[in-house]
Amino acid sequence: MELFDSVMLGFTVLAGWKPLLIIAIGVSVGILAGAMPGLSPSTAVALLVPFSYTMSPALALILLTSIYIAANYGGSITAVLINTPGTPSAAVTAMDGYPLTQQGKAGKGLGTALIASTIGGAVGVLILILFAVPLAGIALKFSPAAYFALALFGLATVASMGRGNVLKALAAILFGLMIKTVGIDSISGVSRFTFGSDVLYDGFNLIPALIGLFAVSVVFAKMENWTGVDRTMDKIDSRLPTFKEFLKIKMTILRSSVIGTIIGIFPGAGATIAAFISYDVSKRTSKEPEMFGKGSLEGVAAAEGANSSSVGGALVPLLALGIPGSATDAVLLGAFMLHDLVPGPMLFRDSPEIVYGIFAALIVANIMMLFLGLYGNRVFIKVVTVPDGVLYPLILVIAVIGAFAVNGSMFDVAACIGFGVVGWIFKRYGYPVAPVVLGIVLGDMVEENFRRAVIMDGYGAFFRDKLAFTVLLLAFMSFVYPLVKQWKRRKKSS
Amino acid sequence: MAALEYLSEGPGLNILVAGLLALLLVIGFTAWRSQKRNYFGQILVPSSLIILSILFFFITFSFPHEEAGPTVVPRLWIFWTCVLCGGILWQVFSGKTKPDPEPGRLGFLLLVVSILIAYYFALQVAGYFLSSFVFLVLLMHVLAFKKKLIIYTVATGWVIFSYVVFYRVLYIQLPLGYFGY
Repeated sequence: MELFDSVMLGFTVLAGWKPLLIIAIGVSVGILAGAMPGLSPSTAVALLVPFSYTMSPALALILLTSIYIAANYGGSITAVLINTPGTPSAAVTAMDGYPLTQQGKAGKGLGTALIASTIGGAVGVLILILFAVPLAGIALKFSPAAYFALALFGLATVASMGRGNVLKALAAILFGLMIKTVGIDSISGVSRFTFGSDVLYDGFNLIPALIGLFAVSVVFAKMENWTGVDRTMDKIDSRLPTFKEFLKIKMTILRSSVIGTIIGIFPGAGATIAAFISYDVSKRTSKEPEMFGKGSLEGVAAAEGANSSSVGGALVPLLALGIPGSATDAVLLGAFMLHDLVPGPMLFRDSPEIVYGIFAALIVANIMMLFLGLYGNRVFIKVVTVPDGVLYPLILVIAVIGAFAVNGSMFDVAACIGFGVVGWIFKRYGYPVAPVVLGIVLGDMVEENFRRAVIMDGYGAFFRDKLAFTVLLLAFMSFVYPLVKQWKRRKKSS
Repeated sequence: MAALEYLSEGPGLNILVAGLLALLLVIGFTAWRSQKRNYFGQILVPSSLIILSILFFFITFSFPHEEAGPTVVPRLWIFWTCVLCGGILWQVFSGKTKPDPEPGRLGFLLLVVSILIAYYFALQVAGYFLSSFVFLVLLMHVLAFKKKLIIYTVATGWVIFSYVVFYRVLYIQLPLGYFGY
């Protein structure tokens, strides 16, 4: 009852036109920023922090959290339409969203992404409201060994991406993991594989790699098969998924929303890992696993449901304990402090109107995102009607500015082009590129936690920690199962 | 051990890089001249990954040696890369892999990549706005897009959009080159 009263108190904060207008602005800015490659949700939130300074604390935080939740959805728009993920987590959406666009079903792809994002976002907020404090406590009890096991479990999702050749998918993930070891080692401070070059000290940035592997490589592949005839898509179906199609994916959305929220709670895990794990689980449990990677609505829903719900999860440790679980949370923490607020248990007691105001705003932001997205999709979809001769040069300039915008570094642009070439070669010879991204995303988490666990407890740490051992077993089975399945299939066919 | 450390940095590393590149060329040449010519790419990709792993392996000898130190995890990835790529090569040589796809217009692709690389260097010399305009116009011409009005409108529109959104609103310091554009 007390919780119900608190939530009602939150909704009273939203009374009046001003908070609603601020949510609408936040959602619009978030969608646009998320759709721009190179602008991550954290950048979008950071850019608006100065504008929020003169607002009341509640309104300021409502604006920033609205941007946060909408930016995660915005990343899917360019991922579905031009295979250029606007945010890292949208890389998973692109795996099925872009094939849908190629089949002339861009409306289904965008619609599924929108619906899954809305439901995922709402589930994440609901879990946040109900379990914020106890869940944050559980996440903090995870040892480095358990975090390592969790990261390894994330790596196991690679098995879903092999498309018939698990060895190639594993080689691709190892390439990503090796690439991630380039730069200054965060534990010892030693520079590794930098060849004495200053620009490599920070290693390879995720965003340029992502843009190169997904967007630039597609342009290169198109150029290899360029016929000289300028074409546009013959038939574009801008219709949303039907109610029947929605019913088919409802369980996928709900499941991925729960997975996303849980993964989001762990500091450092985040939307991208949530999307990869959810995609993997959905493929394994799907009745049509062979459709994944070829334009499966389930695939889009799994990725989007998880990455949007991870926002609610990521807010759990921030609001309940004052620990930022992601880069965007760190920016939000800064915004809290700017308004003389300290997130943590005291915030729930001293300023419930702000905490529950944010919860209420997140619910309203999700609803607004649905409506703005529905109208916006009609405009976004026009991108597909742009002739190829105009679209591909535009994709390349968007890729270049997206790679540059991250750090203002020309090295990132060069890396983006380099990853484009690597992506083209990989795709040409049957190596999936998504595992490379997964390797880059999880590389630090795997290495840092592995070494921390060994330093603290020796190599036996992974066996003594029951939770770590259980997750490691699950990860091992996830790796081995597809290999056995592939071996059996080959044996049967031969 | 001393030899390994010599090859891990300085002139030794240069010799190692040259040696590994030569090895890759020999592998490529041999694959091209052999009966497995149709599998040229399928052989070269895992071979390149193994050679990259070997290079990284030698470099790890320049890192401090300690328990759970900076060498441990890279060597783990190196080991598994070699094992898996060895497995992929075994699949190729035992006929369990499809041959390379038919090559498309590789010359045309090379032209587009060259224009993209030229654009990259032009960004630093001529500035973002000028070089982006020229790049868009040039590439649309190369892709045989005929409608000149659309070509110039799109190129101008992109320059204005990037100036307003990225340069003025988001304060991203795009390269302006020697001419300030």
